[in-house]
Amino acid sequence: MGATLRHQTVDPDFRNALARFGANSVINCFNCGNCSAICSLSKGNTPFPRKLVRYAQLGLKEKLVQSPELWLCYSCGDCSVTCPRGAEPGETMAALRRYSIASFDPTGLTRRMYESPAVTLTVTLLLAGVLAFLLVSLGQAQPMHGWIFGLVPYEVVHKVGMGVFALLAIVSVAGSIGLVRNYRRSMDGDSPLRGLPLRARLRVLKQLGQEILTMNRHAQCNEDETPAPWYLTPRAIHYSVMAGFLGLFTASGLNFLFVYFLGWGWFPPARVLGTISGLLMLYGVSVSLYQRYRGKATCVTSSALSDWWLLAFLLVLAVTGFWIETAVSFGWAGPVNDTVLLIHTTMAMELVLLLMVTKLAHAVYRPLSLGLYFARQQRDIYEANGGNHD
Amino acid sequence: MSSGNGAAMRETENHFDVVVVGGGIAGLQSALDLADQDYRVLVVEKQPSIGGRMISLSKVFPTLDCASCITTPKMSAAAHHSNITLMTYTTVDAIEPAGDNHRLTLTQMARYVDTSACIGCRQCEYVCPVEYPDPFEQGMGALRAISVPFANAIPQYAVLNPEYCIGCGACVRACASDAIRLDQQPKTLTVEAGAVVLATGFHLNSTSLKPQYNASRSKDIVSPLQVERLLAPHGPYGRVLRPSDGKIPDSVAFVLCAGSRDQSIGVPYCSRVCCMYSIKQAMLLSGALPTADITIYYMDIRAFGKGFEQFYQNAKAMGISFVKGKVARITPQPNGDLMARVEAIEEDGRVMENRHDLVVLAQGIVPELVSPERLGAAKEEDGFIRRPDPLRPAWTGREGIFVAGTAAGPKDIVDSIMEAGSAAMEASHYLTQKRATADANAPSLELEVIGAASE
Repeated sequence: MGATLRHQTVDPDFRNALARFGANSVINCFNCGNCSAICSLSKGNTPFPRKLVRYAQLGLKEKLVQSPELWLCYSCGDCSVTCPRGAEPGETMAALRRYSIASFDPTGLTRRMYESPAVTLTVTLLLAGVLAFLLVSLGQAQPMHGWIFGLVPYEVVHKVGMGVFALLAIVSVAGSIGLVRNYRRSMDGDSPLRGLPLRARLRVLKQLGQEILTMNRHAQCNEDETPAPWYLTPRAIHYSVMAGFLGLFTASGLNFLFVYFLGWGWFPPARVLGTISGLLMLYGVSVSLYQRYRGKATCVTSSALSDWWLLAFLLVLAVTGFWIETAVSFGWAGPVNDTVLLIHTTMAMELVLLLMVTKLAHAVYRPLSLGLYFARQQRDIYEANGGNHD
Repeated sequence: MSSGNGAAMRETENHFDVVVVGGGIAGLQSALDLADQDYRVLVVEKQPSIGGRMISLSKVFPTLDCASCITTPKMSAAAHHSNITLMTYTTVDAIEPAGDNHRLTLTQMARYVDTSACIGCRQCEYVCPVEYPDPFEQGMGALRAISVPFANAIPQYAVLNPEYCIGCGACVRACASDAIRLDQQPKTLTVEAGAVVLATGFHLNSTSLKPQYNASRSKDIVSPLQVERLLAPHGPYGRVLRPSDGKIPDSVAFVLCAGSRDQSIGVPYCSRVCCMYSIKQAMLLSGALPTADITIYYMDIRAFGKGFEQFYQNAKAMGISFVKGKVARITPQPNGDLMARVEAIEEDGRVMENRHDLVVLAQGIVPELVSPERLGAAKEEDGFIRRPDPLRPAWTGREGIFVAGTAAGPKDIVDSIMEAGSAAMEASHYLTQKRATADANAPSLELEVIGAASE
């Protein structure tokens, strides 16, 4: 790790700013290191959470957003449960992730959304309004179609829509680039992959793919707790939400391709995949919501609005998705089904558009950080072997 | 010293000027200080022998004096003092106000031995066929089901442990003075006291409080009191061995703050002595095991007393390694090794897994007395006895009830003895004042006689 020390401003008031993202006990920490040592995932040259809590205490914002460790955490809560000072390092990590997501957004929209529930609500509703309006106006068969274009010229609607899409696309791209740039800066512009032979690079990819598909690291969490039944472990619940999400995303894409573009009547594999994924999503999200509501989840001590927001979105999407599937299967029609379809489509688009602004951003940041982590591991092995891999 | 100071208060056989609850070093010091001022003192001790925790220690910090060489003379002095009555194997169930005095309800537990007949010859112990883990040796040695509690116990009476006795009658036949009473019952009695000193002491909280330390999975994750016995010249093995397999430990770790300064187990306060006794034990261990690696994992070293910092520096100079960081997990390996997981805070922050043969958990000091309310005192949030007046640190805030030693909070031996003296002084002062008030209110016979003579 060739990171040289750069001048950084200490900001003791940073913890007050962080409190708005959900970390209230940063100051309690007396740096005993219990959290890093209890964490099953804190290994080698990526120790956490204490390092990050220390950065937070000192207000080293630059260091914070340059730390891939933030995204290596699965938020199992072991550190918070065993913390001798009740400093809740797990909560601090979660708040720092929110802070990190916000700091990659150049528009400042994300920060305002995290800081104020009213802004979150306004943005969500406003965007929903715009999207619904666009959807209604674009559908040729909709009776409102003519009426809307009577009021507002098509060009205006189109441009407003494109503007919103463009803005959010910029936010998404800026976020990903921001993270990668930060990591590169923390390594003095070096890439963790540079100088690595192809085999090691492939191994990084393999490790990353494996981790995404299996979440094996998550299984190491909560070592001391009496294991919950497999279907209630935090890993299983998280996995079912993630798999459901990816499955539904793929199914929607396939459906769009085959049914919309190629004009097939229906595409059975997409339907099957969608149904299974929808069930997974419904299960994971319901259990997750229930556990958060009851405060029962071993992995959660408190929930922020952003947690509820994402879960609520996913729940509504899953339920409306099944409604539509049933309606389509039985050939139902009518204004109720149209409304449900409108809600479903609006929220789905909203979720994709707000990807980098909400908690969902972890779906991008975590794989990026994991990739960096695996790359560094491979590099350490490579360097330890004097440039000879294996 | 006025020889009649306490004499006026002697009324009946079961009245004492002061009752000291607890026969540890604090209680004994209070009792001796009061008895030397001619007060009649009763010392009530729950264990079959007086001496408390200190009699089981090896050496004291920071002077490395022999602990039993200090305690045994105190025990002996108390036992032989004409103004001190000892009641061992006796609990105090309640202390209530009774007029000007306090009424104490005591339960004398059954020793199954008539103490008026027992001469401490140990014949019973020699013939007893049952052995159980010796509580005095912290479970490491073996004790017969009937035996004198330990070598230098006072009084030297045998005690029978009914949990282990098989009722074979071997001891009854062997006893030369017919002292064994297998049908003995616990006895309840009441005594009255002018003042009370609570010196109920402490115990260490459980090594299993933190499941991450896996103490239940290895015999080699030990308590500091076990190490005291391992280091004592008359300890269970006569040398330092690890309990599980008798291996000479090559690497010993001390885990500080293993049972205190930890909100997650409900003991947020500092136990005040662990840093120093761990350093002391580390020093003694490096003497007993010159080639062993000794590591002390600490959060901060609190060396606040006289000579403590020098003691700490000496330990560092001796080659004991001090590693900053709270041990988060101890994992016993199938081969008996113990892996301690800790963050290298003062290095690069990496997480280390260090191998050790023996791990000592510096457990927290918690009050032995669970409900001081029963004994006429109140408790603080931390469970120790409350002392409302900062200028009278030995006073419980209740008329005539005083407190000494670790019953009021974690502290070392020196501080306990100082507080015991303070409690004795408070009790003495209280009794003198009470007598002065009583004298002033009573019609003075002497004055009347003088008056009559002048007439």
